[in-house]
Amino acid sequence: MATVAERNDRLAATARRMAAEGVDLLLAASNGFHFLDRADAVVHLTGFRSLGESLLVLRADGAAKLLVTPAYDAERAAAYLALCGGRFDCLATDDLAGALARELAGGGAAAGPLAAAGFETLPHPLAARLMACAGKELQGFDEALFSVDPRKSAVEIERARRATAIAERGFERLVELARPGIAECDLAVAVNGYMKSLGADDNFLMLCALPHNLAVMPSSTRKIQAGDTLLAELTPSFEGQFAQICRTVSIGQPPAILKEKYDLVVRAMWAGIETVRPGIPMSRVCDAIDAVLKDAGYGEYCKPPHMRRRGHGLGSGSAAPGDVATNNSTRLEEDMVFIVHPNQYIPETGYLMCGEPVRVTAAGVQTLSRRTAALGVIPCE
Amino acid sequence: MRMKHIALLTGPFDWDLALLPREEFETRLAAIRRVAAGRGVSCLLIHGHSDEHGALGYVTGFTPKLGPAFALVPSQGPLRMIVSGGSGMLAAAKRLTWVEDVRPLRDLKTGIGKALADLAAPENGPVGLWGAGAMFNRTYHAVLAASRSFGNPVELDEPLDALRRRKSRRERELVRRASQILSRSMGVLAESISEGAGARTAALAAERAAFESGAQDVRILASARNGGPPQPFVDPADNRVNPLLVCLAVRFAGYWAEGLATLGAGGGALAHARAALSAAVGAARKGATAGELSLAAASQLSPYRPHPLVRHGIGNGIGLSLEESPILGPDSEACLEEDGVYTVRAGAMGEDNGNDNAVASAMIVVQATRTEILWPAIEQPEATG
Repeated sequence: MATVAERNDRLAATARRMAAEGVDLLLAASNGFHFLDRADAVVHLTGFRSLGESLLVLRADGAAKLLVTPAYDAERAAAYLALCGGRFDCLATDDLAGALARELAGGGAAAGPLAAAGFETLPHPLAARLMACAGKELQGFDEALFSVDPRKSAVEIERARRATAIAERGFERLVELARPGIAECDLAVAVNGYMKSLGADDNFLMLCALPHNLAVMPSSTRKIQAGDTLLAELTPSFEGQFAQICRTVSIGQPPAILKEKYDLVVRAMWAGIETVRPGIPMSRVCDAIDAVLKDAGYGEYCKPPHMRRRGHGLGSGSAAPGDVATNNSTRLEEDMVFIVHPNQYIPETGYLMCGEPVRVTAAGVQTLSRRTAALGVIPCE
Repeated sequence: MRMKHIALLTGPFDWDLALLPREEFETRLAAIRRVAAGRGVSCLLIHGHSDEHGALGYVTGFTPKLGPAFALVPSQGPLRMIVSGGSGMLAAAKRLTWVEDVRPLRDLKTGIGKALADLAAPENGPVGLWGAGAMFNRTYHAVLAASRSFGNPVELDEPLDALRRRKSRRERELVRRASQILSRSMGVLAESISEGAGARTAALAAERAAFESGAQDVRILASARNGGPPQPFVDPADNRVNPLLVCLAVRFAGYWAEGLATLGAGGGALAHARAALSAAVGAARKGATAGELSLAAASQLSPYRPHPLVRHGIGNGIGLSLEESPILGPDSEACLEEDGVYTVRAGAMGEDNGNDNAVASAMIVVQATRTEILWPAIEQPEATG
């Protein structure tokens, strides 16, 4: 029942924030997409992941109604509602704008300001229809919504742990299967399927291999060859919560320079992780990683176009605290969960990846992974 | 059918010259340019994202994986693509298309604005948009801002989507191959269920079979309870379900095939769903309306009600998009066209929350004098045209 209590807390806190800002009614929208590092307003507030677009209509007194599409998903939505102890009402429909119009007419149009979150990722014709239904200008509420409770709940943290465990087993499977001659995409599909068999419901799995990578890329049909460096970003979702590990594997015995530079990026990663504690700005984590790489002479590669971020929050609900980046001043709070990944281009070796998901604790930080990044090796005859 | 979004596509999406040679795209491009010229646009901007990119795929073969992607088609001369991702990721992006000029897109407004300025001139007319209906709100507003100097853009979804409705011989062959993969995958699913597997285990086996047969993508919805409506797998539960209602979609070389089936003990609903489907497919011919198909199906359903899965329509066009025009809604006046490929669905529902429910579907190609069934989840209908 922790889920129900947590969900109620988040809804109630959001309603209080609305009242404080003089907002009468919030339209929190989802496009039904699953992004690993972006927040979904409906998932954040309700935990429900819709197949199509959905909308939570939340009033400042805390009353809430969830409108989901498509209509044939009604039974799943109703079952979820029951799990949530009936905290909010629910309607499945094929016409979201029509349902909103009826809801606003039936529930009484809000006299005061209306606010919206998640509208930027709705299909634009639908966003326009919903705004027309609202009948007045919608105040942007995205930032306020996710700042109300940026921490992961106990249930979300446990799901992140489960997702991390799946990612680690996925990596073990990858090392078993990777060999010269297998296409990147065939390897990715096999590893993805394995992680699904362990309970993952989705995966942002980037996997590619080249002798000298410029970046990690989605898998292609290119066949892996001896001498390649294989990069993998394993990002399973467990019950909607993403977690990620980043790994690098040498196809064949790694040259000394690859081992040396991989040790460097791993050291940079730990410098970042060991900086994590409540109260510091996220930028300090990035600075700590950059410092190690700058000391080694790679300052030029610590900025765009080579580098944009050293990690990121993990969705599907809140993706706080956002990117591990020098321009992110978000103060870390206990129970925030994010990945720290230096993932650095090194001119001598190409792009190298290492990254661990971490949880901010009262005492500092805890990595969610059990076996942290080390250069993998696939022996080749 | 709306299926669950996937965070990142991992299958074999690279452009395969043997399956879709360049001349196929050049034929399409010539037709598109004729429509664009008729509307007086100086440049066509074609949009796609990871979940809906039928228009973009039609012109370029490209499958966006990381964010929005665009093709710019000037009135003459080579195309350009701008695709989400950094410059270091271009090697993978270039493998996805025959278009040679592929560039990274970091900032929507400046990226689109620069490409338009390079390829077109405002005095030659406004920018035409294709795939605009699927644009996210922020993408749409960035496009409006980037093309402001050209005046208001002209949305061309309707006339250009019409070009996609009639499938070429090569396209029909690719849908046929997708349907064969669907058949194999559905067979594995049915076999797993009959051997006592849980729905999740069976779905994973079906997915593996599809990928082993060359599928690029596989999406599955299945009942979470006996006779329940097909749902996405959102938790690790692996329930044995009987009957299992399933919706399985597979994609090959860009082209989708979709199948609805009811596995396990079929009650009265299954017989009625199959009869309804047979009647609808029997009514499917060149020029038949969606309403005629719906009426034919409805005549076989009583005493059952239409399943929620088919209440919004008896089917739709299918090809590069899982759901493309026309949507065969019950009140739609849309007609089946020659060389159109359609998914036709039927479903019967007994008592509320009961388990005597069933769904079935067929993939069909409408030809001049007959209707070919690509994926038969039904007994062969007696009359097909």
